[in-house]
Amino acid sequence: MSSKKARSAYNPSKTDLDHLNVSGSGVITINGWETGYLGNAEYIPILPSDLIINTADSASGGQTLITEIGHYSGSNVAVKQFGFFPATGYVGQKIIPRGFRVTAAVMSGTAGSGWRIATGSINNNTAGLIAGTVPSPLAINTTHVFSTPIEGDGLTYISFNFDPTLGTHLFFGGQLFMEKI
Amino acid sequence: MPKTKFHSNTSDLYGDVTITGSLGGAWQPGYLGNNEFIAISPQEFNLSGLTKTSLRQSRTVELGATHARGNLLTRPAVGVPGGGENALCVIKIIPKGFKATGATVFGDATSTWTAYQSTLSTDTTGSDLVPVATDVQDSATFDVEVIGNGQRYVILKWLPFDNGDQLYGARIDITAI
Repeated sequence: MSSKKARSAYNPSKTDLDHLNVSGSGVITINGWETGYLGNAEYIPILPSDLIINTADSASGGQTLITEIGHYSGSNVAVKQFGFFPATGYVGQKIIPRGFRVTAAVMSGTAGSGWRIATGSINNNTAGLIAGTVPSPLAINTTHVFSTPIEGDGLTYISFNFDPTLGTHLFFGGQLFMEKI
Repeated sequence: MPKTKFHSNTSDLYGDVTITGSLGGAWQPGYLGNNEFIAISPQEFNLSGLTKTSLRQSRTVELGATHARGNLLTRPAVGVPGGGENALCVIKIIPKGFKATGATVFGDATSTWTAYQSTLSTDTTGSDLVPVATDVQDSATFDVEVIGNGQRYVILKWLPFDNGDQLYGARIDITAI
């Protein structure tokens, strides 16, 4: 610490603060970095590259012919569980940070496409639909507020499903809005 | 909050702060507010162990493949189908200030998992962490601890036996140094 202010009685040296336990009910902010998800206390960003699971139910070749990732029923494959079934389109998943709860979400893309959202847990096979069904997904570019926020306990994640019905439907990204518990 | 020698007003601290204790509340330094484990969703197991497939990448759209210890990525090559192994890997950087001590992969009872380590800048690996296939749902302590230096990462490899095997997720246990 080099500033005069930093050496004042109100701002001691680093060693003065060693062994200090800090607790509080607010968000910790350091030069714009906040507790939450990668410095963001307001939302978890969703990138196009996060939609990595293809939910096709079957493929013509086994995994020894084509290495694919996701949910399908061809030979030599592994099933992953989603809250929405049957899933169509692509799925991504995000762990909810501890100390936060997800309250709403939005997916952005080409009008006409849809999306769904659900919960899952890393240590069991349970999954719960939040909103959007087959064949009635949520409208793209429209924020959905959860009737019950989903709390981050370290185990729970959010599954989100982009469902393009045409080859021209594009996915731009999304946001999982959260608040500190 | 009353004024003390640690802050000049009710909300601001200035300069660098080193804390050897902990931050209170549910959010903790570590991984996404979690100072006990790195939580891993099924989606993150996205690196395949199958290294040879029947079609070129100009004919099919495939994700990257990896070799036995999961510490590199390569495009699947054209060759005898089935080259490599039927496995899916996830890779996680260990947060600075923490060390990884063990892991658990969750799924149904018929598949197994192993664990390895490496770093960002090389294809060499350190000592294997869990080299013996371990049943899913079973926890394992790493043979060596992996100290987070910003570059070291842990690889979990899931080995499904059948097409009906299910993966639920995984955790890598971490401890503040």
